[in-house]
Amino acid sequence: MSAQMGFVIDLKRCIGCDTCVIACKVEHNVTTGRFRLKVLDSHGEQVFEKPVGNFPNLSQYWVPTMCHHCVEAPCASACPTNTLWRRDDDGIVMLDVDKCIGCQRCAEACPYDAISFDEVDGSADKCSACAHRIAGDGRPACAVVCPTRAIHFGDVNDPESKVSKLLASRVHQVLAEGKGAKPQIYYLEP
Amino acid sequence: MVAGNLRERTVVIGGGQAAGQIIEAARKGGYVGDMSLVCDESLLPYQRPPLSKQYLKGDRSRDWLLYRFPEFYKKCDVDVHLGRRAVEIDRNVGFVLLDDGERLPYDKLALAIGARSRRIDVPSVETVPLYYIRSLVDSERLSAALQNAKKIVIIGGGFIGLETAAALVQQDFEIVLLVSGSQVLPTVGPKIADFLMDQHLAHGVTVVLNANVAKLDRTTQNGVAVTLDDGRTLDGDVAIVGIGAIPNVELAKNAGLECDDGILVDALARTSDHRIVAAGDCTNHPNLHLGLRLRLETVHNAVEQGRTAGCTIAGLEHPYIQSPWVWSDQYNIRLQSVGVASGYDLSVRRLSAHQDRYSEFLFRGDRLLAAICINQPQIFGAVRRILNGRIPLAPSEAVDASFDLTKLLERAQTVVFDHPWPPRPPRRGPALIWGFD
Repeated sequence: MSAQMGFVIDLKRCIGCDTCVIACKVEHNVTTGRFRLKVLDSHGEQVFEKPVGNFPNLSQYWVPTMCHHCVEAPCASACPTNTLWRRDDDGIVMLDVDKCIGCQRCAEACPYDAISFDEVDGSADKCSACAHRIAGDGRPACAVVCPTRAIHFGDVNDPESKVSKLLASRVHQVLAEGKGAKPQIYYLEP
Repeated sequence: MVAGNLRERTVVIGGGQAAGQIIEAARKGGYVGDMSLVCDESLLPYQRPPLSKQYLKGDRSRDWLLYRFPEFYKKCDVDVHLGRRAVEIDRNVGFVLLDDGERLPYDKLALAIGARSRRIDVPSVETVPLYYIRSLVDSERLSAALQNAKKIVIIGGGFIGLETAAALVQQDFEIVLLVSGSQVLPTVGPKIADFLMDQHLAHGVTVVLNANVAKLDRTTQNGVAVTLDDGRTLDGDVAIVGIGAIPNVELAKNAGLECDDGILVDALARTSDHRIVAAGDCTNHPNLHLGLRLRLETVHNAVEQGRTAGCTIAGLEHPYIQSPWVWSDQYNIRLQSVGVASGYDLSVRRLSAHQDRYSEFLFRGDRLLAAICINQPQIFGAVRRILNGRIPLAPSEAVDASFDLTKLLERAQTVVFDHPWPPRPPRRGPALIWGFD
């Protein structure tokens, strides 16, 4: 079985500090107004003071979200120019910005709002799982900087990997499972 | 879901994006029958728009053009026949005859046979080497001819002519662009056309309007002399022609399928024989938004109608009901147009803080028909969704740059877990313990 790289994010550990967002922006020189990674609250908003429930039984968790590197990537299927494609050897969904025509079909197809666009030429941008870093046995910048060690990255098809062990030992689910895209960000219970 | 059966055979004829998309959509839709792809070119289905842009500049490889990588066809278990031409369809027996005499039997057939360049029809045309841009071979043949050329005459002021002019003038060729009408790009309206023409003039292209070619001759230097109907003569080392395209319908017509400016299909891409679907430039299809039939030569049409055709093969219903869109890259301009502009009676311009970023909105009465965006991809994306969703947009809202068009669109919910999380175990003690024991 070929590798399938994926993220495992521990919602119990995430404190919504946005350090991963900043690391991502710095690593990829993401310009103002664009993003590759967002931290949303449990309502899907980029605000952080909105717990659910009634006092004193309040709860809140944060959901870091980026490209989910779906096995059945709807963006790649919708793309008319092969700008987006899924790498066979590790399952990362890649983006070749030179081919992008700015049609935004990928954004319409993506269930996770994970793609942003340049203001002038409209070219798409999204998380590449720090492909340049993992090529050299590194980890994605977001996983490196997370101060609470909430973000893990590895081969979910390798039973000896840390991500597989976390998935085997904790309750987890993916976002919008019913959409059928087979996303590869797994969230551990908050 | 599984569609079809293991003994069922589908033949796809074509070498563009529609052919690739038909295969992809059919397999994703659960189609399990045998699939064959017949393509008369030597390359797997590829993208044609870069042929007049990046590929012509010579900075891209053949593989870069591919619509899907070779592994895709292996994964989809497609029997690929490259460099083979389908010459006949026998609907009674159900087979496709190839140019080498081989018969490919089918239960379902998909036609994505595209269009061909319209040939210029003037006296002595056969004595003059002319270059068209439709296929990879065309583009490479032109690139070879450009090696010894300096002055290029381009006949036609449509997308192909303008994009080719932009690509070549930036490589220091001397360009003369002959436009038969009073403006370039007749489909976009005079304001955008004038803006584009100004861009070409500023980059050094000589644009000749109302230039109708009367005669072509070979010059003594092996170049081309173009004589216009007003008697003017323009010389060039190479002449490129981009005067439109003609749908390839002969294969379908000879098989008895209904054709009228393209192969007639319904919203599910079915031809008059429902075992045969067709998609892309070769089709004439109903646009349910506009209430009329269209034949489009656009990437969007090829991909989306191809998706519909693939779903139909898989037994799914995915009607093709979308507003058409097209894009063009010239210099540092990205033009994106959505909708059909014909019949508008009001044109309003939405400006921005930047002179080279604006959009024209075209209305008939209060109804938005189309928008043409210059370097405003966000506006384009929003308008496409507005048109597809049939969301009302007033001219006063369209023209107001402070009015956020995306507010009219439904915002997708992005954090949705399908199952509730298990309740947290109760705390063993107080949440906070102050001080020291």
